[in-house]
Amino acid sequence: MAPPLIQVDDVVVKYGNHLALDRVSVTVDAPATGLLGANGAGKSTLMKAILGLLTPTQGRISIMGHDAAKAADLVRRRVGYMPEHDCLPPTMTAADTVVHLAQLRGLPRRDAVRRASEALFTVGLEEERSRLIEGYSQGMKQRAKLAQSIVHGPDVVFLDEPTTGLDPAGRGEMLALIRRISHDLGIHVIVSSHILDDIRRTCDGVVVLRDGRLAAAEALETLAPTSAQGMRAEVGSSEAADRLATALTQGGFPAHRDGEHGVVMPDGSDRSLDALRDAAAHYGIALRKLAPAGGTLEDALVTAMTE
Amino acid sequence: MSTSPPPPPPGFGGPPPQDPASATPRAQVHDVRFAGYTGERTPTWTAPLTLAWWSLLRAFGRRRGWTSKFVPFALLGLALIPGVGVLTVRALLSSEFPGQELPIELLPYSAYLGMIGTLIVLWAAVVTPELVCPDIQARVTSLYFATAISPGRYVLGKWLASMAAMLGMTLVPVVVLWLGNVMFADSIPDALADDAANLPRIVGAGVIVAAFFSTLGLAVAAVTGRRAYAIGAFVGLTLGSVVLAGVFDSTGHETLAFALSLVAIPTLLAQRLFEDNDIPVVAMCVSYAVVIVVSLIALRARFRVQP
Ligand SMILES: Nc1ncnc2c1ncn2[C@@H]1O[C@H](COP(=O)(O)OP(=O)(O)OP(=O)(O)O)[C@@H](O)[C@H]1O
Ligand SMILES: [Mg+2]
Repeated sequence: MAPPLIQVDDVVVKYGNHLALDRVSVTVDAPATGLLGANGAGKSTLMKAILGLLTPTQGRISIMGHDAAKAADLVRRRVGYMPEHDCLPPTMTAADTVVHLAQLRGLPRRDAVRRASEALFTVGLEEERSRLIEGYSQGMKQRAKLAQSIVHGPDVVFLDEPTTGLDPAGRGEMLALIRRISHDLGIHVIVSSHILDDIRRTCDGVVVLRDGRLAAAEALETLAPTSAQGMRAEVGSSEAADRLATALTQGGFPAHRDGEHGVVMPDGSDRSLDALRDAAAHYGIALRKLAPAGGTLEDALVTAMTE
Repeated sequence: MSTSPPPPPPGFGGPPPQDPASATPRAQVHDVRFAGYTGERTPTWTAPLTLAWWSLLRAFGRRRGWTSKFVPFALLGLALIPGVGVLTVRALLSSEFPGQELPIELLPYSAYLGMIGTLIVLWAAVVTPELVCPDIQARVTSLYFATAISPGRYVLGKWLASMAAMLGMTLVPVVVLWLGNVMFADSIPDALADDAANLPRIVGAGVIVAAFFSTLGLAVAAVTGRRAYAIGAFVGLTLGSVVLAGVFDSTGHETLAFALSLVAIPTLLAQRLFEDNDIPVVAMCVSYAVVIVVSLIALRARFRVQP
């Protein structure tokens, strides 16, 4: 049996007296894993420990079957890393930066040049790649950082808060890119964020950290509410909610009122949703919100964290 | 507002309406090219060479405006003036008095490096910070050490770059003079035979001076991430040592004076390859070695894997 991608075993990391990671044990093997936690929870610290950048005072970490503390060269060549802070040389162009990082990781010059332009194209920087990085916006810097992390075709890539400083559109694109990296390019992704939604949209599994301790480690589908729990629609007024519930029930799709402006359909199938859409369109009722009825992922996580 | 809703409209709960435009799939982007890298990887010992190459390109203003190229190339141009001037005079004189040996040697090789000593110090002050300061200030080193190159290989690569840049200053002007002397001689084969022994001396002298200032300059620059501070610190240190040497010289401590002047140490040792100058060779060799070793230790200690 192949060793898991990453195995963290009873790891303690201290900064001076400050306990940044407190006996964390977790196995990561999903195509895309989210590292979720508030500021200071220890997400970056855990990533750096896995990358072998800091040595735990206790415990063991293995990455791709190698001891993380002793596999620095393997990590440098087979792993990609997008740090949370700016880390690109301001007086070089993105193209030159990505090419030369690829070369440092062992790609011959021709492959480095070809793959660098592909990576920059993939992240949507092909137009600006010949400009100096000092003239980049935050979003462009994030993209360039992402490009350098995948250019050498790593087995696994660590993305530390990749959506920091991005506007909503940029954030959406970044999340779609991350999803593509794990889905289409077959690169394992470990992505950290303090925003649950980022992780829900990109990951298959989630590791939750709180104050340096592991709060939960789950596959997302076990946490995510399924359509079996039904769907809840929210409209603008209670009259509209009344009308929608009645119309749906009469049309053969059981629905009941929920809260002030809500309508819940216990059957969350696509057919029911089509009915809901058509009914809303027919009566000119604006749908404000449509979400799984049985609690949100947030609720599920809070449950997991307090168990 | 009716109390009982009208009957459901036709098509209620049916499949979603088909927009003719969306019935046929629109263009889809498939990026089949970007995939894992399975090609060959270059051995890790090539990484310092790659780093040195890119560092030099950046230091000499690749893809940047002429202002960042101006200072280094202006210094190199100034350093060429004595040699080119002497060659011009020689060419004029030899056409005036063909077949006659010139009564004096206008510019002996042994004196050239001493003559451009100030330019060499300025060159080191300007070029060496350009090699490391941007990496420190923009935190590129943290990315390098995590996923590109080990700190030891980084220092080696930067030292190679620094050495190559310094050799440009200590070697090119003197070699130009040597080539000119040979070319403008009445008999090129004779001149070659006469002057051939000087070529290894020229190279040796260039290496002695270049190694000294490239190592010292790099070590001083690595202390700070700010280029201006690094330039100031290097010039200050060099000037200070010359002033200090002057003080010791005037109080009769000649040996100490020679061994303390950071300008005298490499230039006079280099000069000794050509002629017997009256210097305390052992003391100066010890100083030379101490400066190099301390600088290298400082550099190696400065760059560590950073969490
Ligand atoms: N270099 C350091 N020296 C001292 N303490 C540190 C250092 N780096 C992190 N810490 C502390 O360790 C804890 C965990 O930090 P870490 O950077 O891992 O958090 P994080 O989850 O990545 O937070 P953020 O969302 O803000 O990036 C914090 O309390 C932080 O103050
Ligand atoms: Mg962090």
